Amino acid sequence: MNASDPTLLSFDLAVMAVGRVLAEAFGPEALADGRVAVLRNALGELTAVFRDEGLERELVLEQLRAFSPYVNWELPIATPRELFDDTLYSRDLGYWTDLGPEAGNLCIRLIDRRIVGNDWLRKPQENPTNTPIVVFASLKGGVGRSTALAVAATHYARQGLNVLAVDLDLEAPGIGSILLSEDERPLFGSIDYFVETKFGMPAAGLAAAIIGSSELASGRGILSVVPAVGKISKRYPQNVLAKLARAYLDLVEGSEEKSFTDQVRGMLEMLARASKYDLILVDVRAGLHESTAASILGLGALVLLFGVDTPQTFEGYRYLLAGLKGSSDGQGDWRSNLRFVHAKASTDDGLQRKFRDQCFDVMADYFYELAEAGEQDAFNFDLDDEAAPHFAWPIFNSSQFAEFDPLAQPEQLNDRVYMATFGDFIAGLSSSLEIAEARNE
Amino acid sequence: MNSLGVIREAISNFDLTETAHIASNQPDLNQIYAPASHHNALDPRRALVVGNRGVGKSFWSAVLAHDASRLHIAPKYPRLPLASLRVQLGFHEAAGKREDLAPSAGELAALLSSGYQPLEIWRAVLLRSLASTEASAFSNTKQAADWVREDTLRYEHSMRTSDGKLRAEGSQFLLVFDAIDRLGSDWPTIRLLSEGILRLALDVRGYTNIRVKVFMRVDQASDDALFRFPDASKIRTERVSLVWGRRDLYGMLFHRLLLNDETAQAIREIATSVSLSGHEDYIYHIMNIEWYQAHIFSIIAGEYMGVDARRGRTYSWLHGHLADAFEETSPRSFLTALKRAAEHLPPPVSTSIDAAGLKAGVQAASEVRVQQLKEDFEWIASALRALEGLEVPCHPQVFIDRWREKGTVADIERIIVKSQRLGPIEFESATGDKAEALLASLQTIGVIERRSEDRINMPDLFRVEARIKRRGGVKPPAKPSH
Repeated sequence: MNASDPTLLSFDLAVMAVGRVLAEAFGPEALADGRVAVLRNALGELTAVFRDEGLERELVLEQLRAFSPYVNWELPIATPRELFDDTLYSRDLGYWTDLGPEAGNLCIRLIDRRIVGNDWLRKPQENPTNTPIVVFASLKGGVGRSTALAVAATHYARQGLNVLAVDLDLEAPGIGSILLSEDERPLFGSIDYFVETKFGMPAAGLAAAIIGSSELASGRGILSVVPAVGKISKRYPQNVLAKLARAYLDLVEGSEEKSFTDQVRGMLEMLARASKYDLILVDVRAGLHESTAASILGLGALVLLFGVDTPQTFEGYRYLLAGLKGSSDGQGDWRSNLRFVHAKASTDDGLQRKFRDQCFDVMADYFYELAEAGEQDAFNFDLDDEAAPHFAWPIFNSSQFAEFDPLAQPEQLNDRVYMATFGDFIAGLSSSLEIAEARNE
Repeated sequence: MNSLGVIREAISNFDLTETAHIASNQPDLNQIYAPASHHNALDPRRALVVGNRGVGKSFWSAVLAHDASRLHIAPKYPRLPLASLRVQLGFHEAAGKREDLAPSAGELAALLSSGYQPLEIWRAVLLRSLASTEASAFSNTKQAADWVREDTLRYEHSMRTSDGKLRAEGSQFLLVFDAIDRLGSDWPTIRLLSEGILRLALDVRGYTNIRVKVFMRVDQASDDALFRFPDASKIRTERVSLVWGRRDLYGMLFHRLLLNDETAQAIREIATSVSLSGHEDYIYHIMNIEWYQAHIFSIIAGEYMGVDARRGRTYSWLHGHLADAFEETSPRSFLTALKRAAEHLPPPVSTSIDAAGLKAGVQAASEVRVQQLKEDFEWIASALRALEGLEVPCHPQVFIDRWREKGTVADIERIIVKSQRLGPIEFESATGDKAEALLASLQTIGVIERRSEDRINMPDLFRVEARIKRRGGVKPPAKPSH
């Protein structure tokens, strides 16, 4: 591709075009040491950021302008000062973007400013509570994520642990109805937490008002459930859509703007403070929506990525992981917090292996480091390494659990019944969480 | 020295030289670990035992062939008549060099070229081994073969008489064949003679107290051409795969440690510290129950490879990383890795060995394993060297193209001719491009695994030493340190 031919440009190619022009003019070192970077604004327009005032703008000005509208016509080049943003002097901002093989795979630092989707850009954060958190995520609905969470929550509660299950799938509420009878449902749900805090309702009180207690724990551990919607939404169903439109907005506290991720962290912190839990399980919205970022990146959690064995699954996870790759630069530890789950798996070993191999492909392309011959320390795993994120735990296809309603059909939570389907999954989860399963020896 | 130190020292002093064995050598009783799972391999009624390098084919042949060792293990296998067995070696690695009746490869070649059929030859060996009254008249295999060939009915009568005598005595006779890849210097000869042995094994099924057992390498066992004679499928289907499960390997480790008083005491202390020694038969549990083994091992080596479960648990990691493409691990690899781990410096503070040691151990085992392979399969060195720098998992075509590019097949053929050693058995029946046959041969011996139509993988055990990389897309771009 001719670097200065504007007719071939598109969103995907624009950054590379700009990067190559800058590399040609100022040399690869200027890119590598951050004297030049690229800023992509909320609308997607690019500006070349010159941190070194000594660089000659004339060398590239016309070429960059030729790339508009992908390059900001008014501000094709600017220093941080000219953008009224001294934070742009920091060379840690953004992430490395590959300029392609024609440019010798040089990389330039790309700073992406978004209005929505910002939370995908944040660096992974630590767990805000002292309790292990497990996030149940998927790209599509209907893979059995909520069912798996409900089964796992009940299982551990019956083993004597105190479990908190939180439904953050605001658009398709699930675990609340599975685990709580109508009487047990609290007044508010998680959706109300996000809405009411924006109106100044104190978080501590809200945290108490969104917890319901499930009888399914049968008198052993506690099973607390935060449903997506509470009794109040049952009473006023017409307002749920309106609440949804506000739930994800930033929370303004004084001069601080808290993103959805911050709010989720705050909520969990409140909940964990109120009561001592041994385990927190979080159900998150299916899909690539920004709200999922809160749970995947923001909680220092074990993130379970559910999927069925179809091409769409892997295609979707490629987009997710490729997009996360940049922001998780150098966050080695975080990468091993991911784990794939093979939903609706066949009991056939060969098919399970095939799924894992495909998960390996996705992880290898974006998250695993190339392991040189003698190297043992690279972040990389063999195909059959059980400790690997790509080593998917299977949940077997079962018509039993297709319509999961343990309140109506208690036999579904008979452990002989659910262990046949969820046994491997629970074993894997227990192992990762270091929960010793009760021994029958 | 505390328990952990004692154990570390003991492991670093493991004597690994004995683990390779020649069937005609008397085995050291202390070296014998007899896992319950090898019951079928030792059963006289199972004629064919197949195993990869280092799993103990020759070792078990030796144990069976020597009275002292066979009686030593007999109590471990109460359902087998090991105590009342009479065993002779029909062929072994040192055949011709010992005072036994096994004919050497040279003798066999001579007999074949004189026109004797393989079955006649082996019947002759069986006859002499049974030491019947007629047999004492023969001073070599040829004479016996003549006698067999002259009158089949007379031979069969002699066999029935011997069978009856054994029955009356209440004992069984077992003729054991080991190292049969050394029957000749080319595959056609080896195949011919091996087939003869298998035919003999079928032959003796007609008798009640006379049996044949063959220990065979995996590549030979996969050679369809060997099993084309009538009823061959019976032998093949009833084969026993000689493998060491994870539990058996750890059991072997603890067995070795328990042999010596000082280390046995150390193990007892560890078991007590995790409340296991209160269990009545805690030694049985340590040797046989995986959960217990993992517990003890976590004290010896630490529980995790990293700071938590995410990089794996030592108990499963070690075993997993020593596995070949069939997910099988050999005792030799296992002990080599542990010994190296116990020699690794600096010594850990609160365990006998640590994750860094285990990693070094796997690397050492990898070197040893590949070295062993090179000894068994002369052509492997060339095949692997050509692959250096490639990445796995990959499409099989990647390997094939690389071999074509480097002319590896021609190199191998040259080596075979020059050294008079065996090439890949798959080359014998390959038509056209042998690069594909080379891939198949590496699959057969467990160096390469075929995951699907378009994907192959190589286990770490070989990958590391072969200098092949493992795929990963993350390469930090060249950037200065901030």
